Amino acid sequence: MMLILILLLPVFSSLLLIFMQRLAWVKFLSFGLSFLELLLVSYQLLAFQSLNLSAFPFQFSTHFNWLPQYGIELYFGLDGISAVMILITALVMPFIILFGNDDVLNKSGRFHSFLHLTQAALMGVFLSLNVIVFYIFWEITLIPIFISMLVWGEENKEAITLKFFIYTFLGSLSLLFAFLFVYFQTPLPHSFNFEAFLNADLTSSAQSWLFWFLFVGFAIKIPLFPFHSWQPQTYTIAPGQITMILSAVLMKMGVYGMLRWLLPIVPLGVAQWNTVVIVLSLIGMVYASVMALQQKNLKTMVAWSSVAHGGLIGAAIFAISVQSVQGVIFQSFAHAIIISGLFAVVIIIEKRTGTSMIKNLGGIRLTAPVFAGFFLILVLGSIGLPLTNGFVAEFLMILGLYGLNPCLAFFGGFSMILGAIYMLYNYQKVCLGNNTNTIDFKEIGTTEMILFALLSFIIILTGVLPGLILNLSQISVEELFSNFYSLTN
Amino acid sequence: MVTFSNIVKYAWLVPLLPFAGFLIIIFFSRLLKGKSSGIIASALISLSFLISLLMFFAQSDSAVKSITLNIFSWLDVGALKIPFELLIDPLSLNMMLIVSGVGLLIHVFSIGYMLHDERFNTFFAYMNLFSASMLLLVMGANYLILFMGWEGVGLCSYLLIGFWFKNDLYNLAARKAFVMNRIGDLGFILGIILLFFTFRTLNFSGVFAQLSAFTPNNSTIVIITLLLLVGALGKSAQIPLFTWLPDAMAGPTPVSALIHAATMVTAGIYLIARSSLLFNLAPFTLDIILAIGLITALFAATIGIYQNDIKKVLAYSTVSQLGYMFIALGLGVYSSAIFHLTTHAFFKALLFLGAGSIIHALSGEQDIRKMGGLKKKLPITFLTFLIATLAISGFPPFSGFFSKDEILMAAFARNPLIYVLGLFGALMTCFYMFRLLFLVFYNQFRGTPEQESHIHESPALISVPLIILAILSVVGGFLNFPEIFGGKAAQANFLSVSLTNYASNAGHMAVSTEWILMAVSVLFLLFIVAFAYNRFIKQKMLPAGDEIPLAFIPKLLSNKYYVDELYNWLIVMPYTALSEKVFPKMELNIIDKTVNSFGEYTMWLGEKVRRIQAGNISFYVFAMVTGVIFFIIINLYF
Amino acid sequence: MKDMSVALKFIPLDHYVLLCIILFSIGVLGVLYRRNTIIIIMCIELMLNSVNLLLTAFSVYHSDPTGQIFVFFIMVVAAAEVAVGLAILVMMKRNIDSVDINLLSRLKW
Repeated sequence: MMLILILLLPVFSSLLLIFMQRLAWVKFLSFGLSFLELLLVSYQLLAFQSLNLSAFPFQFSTHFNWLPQYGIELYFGLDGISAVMILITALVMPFIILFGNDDVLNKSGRFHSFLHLTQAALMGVFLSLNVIVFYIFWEITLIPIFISMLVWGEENKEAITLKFFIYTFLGSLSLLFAFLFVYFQTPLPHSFNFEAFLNADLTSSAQSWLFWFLFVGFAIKIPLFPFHSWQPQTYTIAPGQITMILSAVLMKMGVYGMLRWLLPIVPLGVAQWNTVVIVLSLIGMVYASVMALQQKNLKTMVAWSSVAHGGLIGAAIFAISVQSVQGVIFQSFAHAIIISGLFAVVIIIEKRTGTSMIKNLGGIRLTAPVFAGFFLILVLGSIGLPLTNGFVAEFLMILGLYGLNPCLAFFGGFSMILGAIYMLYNYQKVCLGNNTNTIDFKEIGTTEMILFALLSFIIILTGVLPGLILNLSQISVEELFSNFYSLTN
Repeated sequence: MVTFSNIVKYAWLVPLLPFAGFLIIIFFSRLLKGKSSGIIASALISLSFLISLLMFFAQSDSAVKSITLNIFSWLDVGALKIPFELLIDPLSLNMMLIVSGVGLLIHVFSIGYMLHDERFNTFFAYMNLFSASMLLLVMGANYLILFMGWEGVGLCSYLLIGFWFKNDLYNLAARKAFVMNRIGDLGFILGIILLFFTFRTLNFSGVFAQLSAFTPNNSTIVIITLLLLVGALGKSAQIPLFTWLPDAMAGPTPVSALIHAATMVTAGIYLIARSSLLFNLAPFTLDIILAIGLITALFAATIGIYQNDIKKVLAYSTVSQLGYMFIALGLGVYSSAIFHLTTHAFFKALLFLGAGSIIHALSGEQDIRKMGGLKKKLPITFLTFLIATLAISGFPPFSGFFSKDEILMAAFARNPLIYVLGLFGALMTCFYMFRLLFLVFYNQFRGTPEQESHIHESPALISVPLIILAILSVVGGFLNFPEIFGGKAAQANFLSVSLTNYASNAGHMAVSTEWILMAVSVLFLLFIVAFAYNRFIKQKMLPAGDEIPLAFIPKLLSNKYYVDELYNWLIVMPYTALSEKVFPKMELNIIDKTVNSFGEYTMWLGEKVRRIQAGNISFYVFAMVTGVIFFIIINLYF
Repeated sequence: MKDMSVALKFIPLDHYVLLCIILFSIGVLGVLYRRNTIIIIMCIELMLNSVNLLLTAFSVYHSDPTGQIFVFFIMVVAAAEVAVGLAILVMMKRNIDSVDINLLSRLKW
């Protein structure tokens, strides 16, 4: 029942907040509610960890009938993979709310209502085990994001928002088609439940084309090369907090979808196509890394870095080994923390200087050394320096790739070099040097300092003790692969 | 009673203390005024030194020579189980003593040197973080912990090279160092992964225990060693990844002394020495190391002759000396490499600190053409600098003589040609070091009168470390006093627990040969000194000013063979162009256009189809009738 | 009634079908080519009635009254249609003083 509560609390928060307009304490009410959600999730995860995990893959499963004659039911459950994902969703949210520094948005009940609605939908995505319910939540995430971008976005928002919407919607349709096909191959009586999908009778040729329908649907969300072109533009024009939630959590929907609905259902398709997909992802990683180097806008640069990380994640998912997928899950966590911190840096700079164009920045470290220091920690996490969580993730993913093919690992490892190149180059342009444009840039306030300190603490804590996250998903991933290998051999 | 096994339990304090220093200074930066942060940093590093020293003495009494200390389980994913573990054995103790000992002296020096810098506290925080990472590097008991320290020192190197971040050239140098190191690190991490797949463990002893199953030049082992070598090349600034080190001189001089001379750059040598058993199985890789070391040693020495910046000369001599250590590694005499590493740490740190003292006295002047005649004004600096110069040139009985001689003897035993080339490098080293010494300290002062009036001998905080290092540079050679002089080769024996020299070099040569070779090299050295004396003191020749065009070879050398330009042209420029022009165009015209064209075609189609729905009823009916007839025909005939 | 059906069967079914096709085609062509709305409505009626005739004829030949019941339905629909259609026509005449069908294209988007 806790799962239902986790799902309903953000819905309730959303309903509550939509009636609050232009009130100074909307932000704090919103934070309080998201913090409550975080407490609920932490409680649930503690309970999850204390269980004997090897019993059955899904814990705390709950069923409600909805349309039983079509095999549609409200079926929720928790396993290691979704545990990490709901942790990300719940953990990032309070940060996103508190980092808000736009006076209009901070007082807007509607905006915060949309944030909570997104969170509710995300929880639904990560907890649903019935594919129709999953799909509905998957689509719901788009709605508040779409509206917020249209209402509060920056220049040229209509065209870009429309593109974002149609692009991701196209991916969803591709998913829906594949799901419906699989539905009719499930054992009688047909059902949309996860277990039924696992047992669907799919020939290897069907799996071979189904793979692409599912892959495209999820790849657009991450996004993987060459389906990424919506992402940098969208991240740039969306309000800062929406960008944070897009990059920190919505991107992980694609990752989660692949782990939950792609790998187990079409294992033969995966085995057939994984090399192609990995090559594609790695091309995307190198491509995005190169693109990131010379971006004019800091926000776009961070967006491209997110595409680059997505590329390595995509490659590692299809390296089909326990280490690489554990790396992927860990990277989902690490990247969520780091990228929301980086976007927070961007919105703070935007607010203080009125611009995020890199050529107008520089020398921030002169006047705001603490801010620059935190920025540096985030940058280092992003380029995977040991003792930050980025390293553990990158190491595991490259290790997994190596197990598949050393050549691929070599190219995957390029992320180490290229990441350092574009991140440090742009860090230097923004923070170092002796630029007089930013001479009146003030040091960040206490709240922001505490938030950044917490983020840095999480980055380093999970870098030193990666077991905190890895143990959550370990058994589920092992089970995933024992199924996978039994199906492919 | 302090026994080895007891005190090792506290080994984790050694890297943790400086790390705590880093945290304290960072967090309480605003409270720490004056010299206090420097004192805290030095105190903590001296504690690390003391613990290392205690461990060293406790170990010499103990029968157990190496202990692994398992601290906690770090990574545990499926078959991959990597604990956070430290290894205390002779090799790591040797390195710990160098890092914390030389580190301590440089910390003390920095208190005097950096006192007037506004970011004094930050400097010591970084220095402490560096010491912690370096200690972690040398104490790690598996490759991944080593890698952790390895990257940590890389980060500190980045932070400290770019310490004066207002200057974008320094920032560029810092970034260059970091990225070039990362290129090496990619090789290293791939090597680590291959090690894991081959041995299913990353623990040193775990790996070495399984080596008996492999034959020499087994392809897997060769690939692993080559990958590790790539990492070592980056860190230790060997060809082709050496260009970052001279640029790294942008950092404050104590940083150059600690990181870019004494400790960090030797991490590559440490890595290979640590993996000696692995490399012994790969003679092919050893040959490559030998070749790279030889080429680097000569290459860097020739560049050193034509440099006019005091720190650049020292930087190229560092590259060159690291090349010597690589020669030793390539010959399989790992203990000689570590011996040279040790003595080099002493005299090169001393040279850099001496250079720092000179720069300090001249208020920031680094061009040797504008120095001269400093002998009387800076007596302590002069004396210590002289000792270091004698040591690095290899005059007996200074430390450099013994360590370099060991390497050259081993080279002679392998192939006299290598010996000749090595000796040639040593002679060049001698030449450019004496050139430096003569130009800086002799003749008349060539700077502005204003500078001259400010020249002063440095305070005690600066000169005491110089004196201690000078003593070490003199006596350092006796650490491993060779048997030919009636010594016991103490260090080599001490290290034999950790290192296994490559077997094929075991053959001893005749004692008489050794004597002859030594005599020859000393004679040549004296000749070179006389030559330099004649050129720079008698004839008072000066390096040409920047504005005078040079002949081909001096131009080539003073521009460092244009390697930087080559890399710039081959890699940096294409990469920037790709990022600035090619890929954005591709994104816009191919990828995004494809996506947008879907939308555009839909719009176009709508525009066309809209015209049919024009409200013309007769057209609707016509379309309907045509449709009906069409379907009737279809139905009738098909 | 019986006589009636006998009488109807004097004429072969082919002839009914042919007549209906001719009538229907005339109706279709009228709708297609005429611009006067009244004539178009009349042509629609012509088409409907040709179908009515055909239904009746088949119904008689099959001895199945269902077809004739359909005829009544069609008549009702046609009547309703004419009522609405003529009302629209009257409004059209009043408003734009014309019954030309092409002028109605103003309804287009």
